[in-house]
Formats: sequence, structure tokens, C-alpha cells
Amino acid sequence: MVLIKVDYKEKDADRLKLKNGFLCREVAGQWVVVPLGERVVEFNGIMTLSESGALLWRNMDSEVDEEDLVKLVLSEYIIDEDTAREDVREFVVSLKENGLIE
Amino acid sequence: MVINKKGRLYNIAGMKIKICSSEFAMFRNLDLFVCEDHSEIMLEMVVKANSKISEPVGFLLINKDVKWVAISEGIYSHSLYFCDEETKTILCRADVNYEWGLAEITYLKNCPQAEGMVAGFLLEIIFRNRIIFNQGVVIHASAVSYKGLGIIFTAPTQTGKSTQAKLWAKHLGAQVLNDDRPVLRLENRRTRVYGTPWSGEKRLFLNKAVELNAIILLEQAKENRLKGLTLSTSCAQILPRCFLPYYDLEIMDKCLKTLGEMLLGVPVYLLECKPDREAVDLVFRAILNRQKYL
Repeated sequence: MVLIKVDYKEKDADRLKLKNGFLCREVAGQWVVVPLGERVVEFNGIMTLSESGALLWRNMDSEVDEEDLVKLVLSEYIIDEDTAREDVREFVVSLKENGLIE
Repeated sequence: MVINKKGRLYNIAGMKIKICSSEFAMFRNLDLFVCEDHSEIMLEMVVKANSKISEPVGFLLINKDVKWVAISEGIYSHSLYFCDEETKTILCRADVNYEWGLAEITYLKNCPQAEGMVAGFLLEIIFRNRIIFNQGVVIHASAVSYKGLGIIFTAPTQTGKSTQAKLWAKHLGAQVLNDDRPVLRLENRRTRVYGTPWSGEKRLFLNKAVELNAIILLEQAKENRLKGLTLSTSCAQILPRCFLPYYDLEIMDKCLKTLGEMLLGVPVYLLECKPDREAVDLVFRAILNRQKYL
């Protein structure tokens, strides 16, 4: 029981949501993220995303946690769970490093 | 909008603009683009002089040399103005509607500096945003036309865009359509590159257009080398060179769609180069070779 509780708390603390003010679009086969309005001051540049990165990004408008994202990747790609978890982790870390998570 | 002043028509990058003003001396930079055709006017502007210009009321979006305010009431949605920081006097102001097709410009009476701004950067900003609604985009590049081929050289400032264009003019006799900010327009799924009256300090432009055959990204190097880029690589490098509408999601969406279609049809190359004839020949040969297989 105790263990389950701790897990739950950890997950809860790790809810992820993207900051608003970005537009994610496919341009000539390449996924790009452009800042809009006030965000331009903070993020002066255009980010590019891989196809799986774009899939994750587009599902992070509302709150999710890493497990939701792992499930999403597993449902879309033929990939083992460990790799999916690793990829999601890497993506989330890079979002956090770039200050894109609320 | 009351249009009771004398109007003149201009055709810039295939987009007709009607300007109503009692004074046209300030629009001399547009003389090459005068036209007579009254059909399908895409941008109507009323320009008037005033002894005092009021500050627009609204949310300040951009606070640089040109201030940009979002207005929530009335037919206009944006107001751009330039304020002399020392005297705190507004020299000129442009109110525009959401689609940038209607504009009202006021400039300070008897102020040559203000007059220069109207046909200079104010009209350019309005034009640059209006063209997005007509499947166009302004790109920071130098554009040349040679024997029906259109090529643009783009790179961060000071990399040598103008130098490459100049080499094409010198060695091949190519024409420079616009040395700094040409327009790309999607027409029947093909991209054309147009000269515009705004080309930076050198004022190097023509009222001409040609189909765009290649986008050349430049990098300075010790040896000349040309390589074709994949769409994903080129996209990330070209978008930051374009004047994108960062202020509005829907307009940005429209602009990215147009750019996406353009990039699907026009090859992008990276030219690592020296400023010499060999660099010119390298690009020319690559374009000719590609044309053979089309």
C-alpha cells in the first residue's frame, strides 16, 4: 500500500503541460514549432521536431504524465517499452531544459 | 473609410495597391511599380498629413523602433507608429485591419523624416503582411534572374548574399531583382520570385518576376562546394530567414502552409563558397542539370 501511494505522489508531481503560445506545424514534411506573440521574446527561433517528437508535442496541450506519453508512443510505433520510455524521457528532459514546460 | 483624395495604383509583386493621398512626392520610390489596372485591388491605403498624431490605445505588442499596438475596437485591428524618443512626438502612424487590406496612414505635417517613413518602412510592413493573404512571403535574400531562371541567395547577415548576386551580374549578366527582401509567391503550385521597392540601403531592385528555380543557402568557406539539402534540413534554415507573422496564430498558419508548398517544389542547396566565378558556375551547372530531368 505504502509503495503504491509513493508512486502515485511521484507521478502526480510530474504532471506535464506545455506552455501556451507556440504553433506546431508540418512544413514540407518537417515538423516545426514557432513561438507566437510574447513568446517570441523568450524563444527567438524556430525549433524542429522529429515525427515522434511532434506526436508527443501535440498531445501535451493538456496535462499528461510520462506514462501517458509512453503509452502513446507504444500505440503509434513498433518499438519496445524500454526504448519508448527512454525516448520519452529524453524528449521531456529537453523540453524542460528549454523552458517549454509550465 | 472615406476615399476622396487623388488615388494612384501600384502593382508590387503582382498585388495591386491603391494609395489615396494629396501628396505623391513621398512615393517616388514606388515609381517603377505604377500601374493603370483598377481590377482586383488587394490593398487600399489612405494617407494624410496632420499637425498632431495621437497615440493609439490598446495592447502594446511590440515595443521597438516601430511600436505595434493591438486595437480591440473599430474596423482596425493593429496600429503601428514611430515615436521620436527625444521629443516624444509621434511622426507617423498606420492603422490597419486584420487582413492588412485596408490601411489609414497619418504622418506629421511638414516633417520630411515622417514622409520618408510612410513609403519606406510603414508601407513595407503593411505590404509584407498583406502578401501573406495572397500566398506570398518576403524573405531576407538577394534574388537574381538569368535567362528565365530565378535564384535566391539567403544567409544570416554579412555572409555574402549580395556578393553572390553581384558575381552573377558581373560574370553572367544576371539581373538583381531585389538585393535584400524579394517576395516569393505561390502561383498555380509554382513559386515565383518578385522584385519589390524595398531592398535596403543600396536600392537595388527591379519591377520584374521570374520562376524560382533554386534557393541557395550560403556559408563562407575556403573552397567552393555545393550540395543539395533535404527538406527537413533546409526548412529549419529557411524559415528564420522569412518575415513570419509571429503576432497571430491564424496568419502564421497561412504563411507556413504557403512556405511548405513552395519548399516542396523548389530545390534547396547549401553553397559553401568563396566570392569568385567558380561559385557562380557551380550553382549554374547544378540548376541546368536539374532542369534537364524535369
